Amino acid sequence: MSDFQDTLAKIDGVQVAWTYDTRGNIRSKTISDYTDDILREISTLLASLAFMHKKNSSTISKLHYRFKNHQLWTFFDGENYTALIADEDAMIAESMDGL
Amino acid sequence: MTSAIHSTHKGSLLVIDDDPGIIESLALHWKHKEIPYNIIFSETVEDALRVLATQQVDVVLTDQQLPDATGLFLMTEINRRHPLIKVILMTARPSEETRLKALALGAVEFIAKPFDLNTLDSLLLNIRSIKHVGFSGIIYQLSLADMVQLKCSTLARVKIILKNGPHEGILYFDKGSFIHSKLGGLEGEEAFYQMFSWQRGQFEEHPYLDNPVKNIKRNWEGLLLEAAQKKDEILISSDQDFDSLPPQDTTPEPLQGDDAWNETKNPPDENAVINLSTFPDVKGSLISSRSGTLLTASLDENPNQAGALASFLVQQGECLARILREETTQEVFIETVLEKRFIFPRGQNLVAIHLAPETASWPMRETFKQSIKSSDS
Repeated sequence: MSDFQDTLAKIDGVQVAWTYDTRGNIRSKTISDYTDDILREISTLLASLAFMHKKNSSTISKLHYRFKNHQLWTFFDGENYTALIADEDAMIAESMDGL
Repeated sequence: MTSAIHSTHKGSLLVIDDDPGIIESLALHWKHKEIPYNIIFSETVEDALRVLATQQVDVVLTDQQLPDATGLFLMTEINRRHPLIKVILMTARPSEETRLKALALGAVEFIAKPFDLNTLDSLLLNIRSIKHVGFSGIIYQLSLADMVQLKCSTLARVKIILKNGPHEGILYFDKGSFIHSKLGGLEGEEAFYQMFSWQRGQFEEHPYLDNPVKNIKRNWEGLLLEAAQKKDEILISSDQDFDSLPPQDTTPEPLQGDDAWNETKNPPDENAVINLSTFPDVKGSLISSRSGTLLTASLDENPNQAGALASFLVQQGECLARILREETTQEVFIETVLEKRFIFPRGQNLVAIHLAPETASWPMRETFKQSIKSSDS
């Protein structure tokens, strides 16, 4: 588990944090109720999105989606990507510096 | 329970409905009016699948609401097991969603109950002359990525023979999965990547009865991503331009009909954009339809591209929402070295706000939304 993934997992309201590569393959993940299939599906979509964005514009460093009951964050460091799913009211942005 | 009406004519029609009134009505009607089918009645999907497994059936007339599953589910199974059977879906509760799903699954007709029996007879007479369900013709500039997506999303069981000069490859699809690929001595994903790099070619689609060994392990989305990246790497290394890549412009066609009308009914758009421009952190903003059609903008960049990007991000959000069993995307926030963007829905449309990279934008989210709301009011 990477230090960054570990840091994210400790934020209140985070349900799962995981790391994936540019192909959407999961490298590591915290223990959660989310199946590998679901995380893999999300990772593939996010990796695809990052690829398309880089191709048409620039490299994404941070991406956030807010839904009614969840929020999804992903952070790109150029090599591996880290993502998390959290409760809708989790203070993710506020818990991180520099956002 | 299964019952049947036999005639000397060729053709076999399987009717699935658990409503005894419908069954009696159809049986009585066809007892007095001959149609060129042997007719079999079933009341459940399970019973219908048993009939289909043991008897030759040409046409299926099925109700949508059945005791053990839906007609759409039955269609999926028919597509998988008996792709040449023509299907008519009937329902007492017609909806556009069901109609579109039925047509996407290859239904020849979608009919609402109650229906005229003579009209049904005409349909059943004409249906036998339909050689293939769907359109036939020539498609230009269809990418292999488009083809894979289409075949997987429609749960087709088909094989596609792909030709490029002297080379000929084959792709097998089954039940929404891309299962097998072969090109000369190459098999599986490597064969597909090779075909994906072709710039042009021809294809033929056929049903198949053999059972090819599954040699594609990835899901089709991951496979296309990998293929696009490999192709990109090849093109970059060979210094070619990107025009020959599969289309990745996510700007959809402008909506037509009612949707287009609804999308243009937001008169305070310009006021909203003007209000946003008063915030010191805002470099620009736009309002576009969810499909990316620009409605108004105040930007120092190409507004059409910015609108397309906002639409793309929200469309991807809708895919993520489905995975997370959410209804819709409420907000998107994206940050790169060059910029930050905050995107959120506004009725049928989207608002995208372009912010400087150094902006501490997070606390401003609600302020931006409030600004838009006040413009609307």
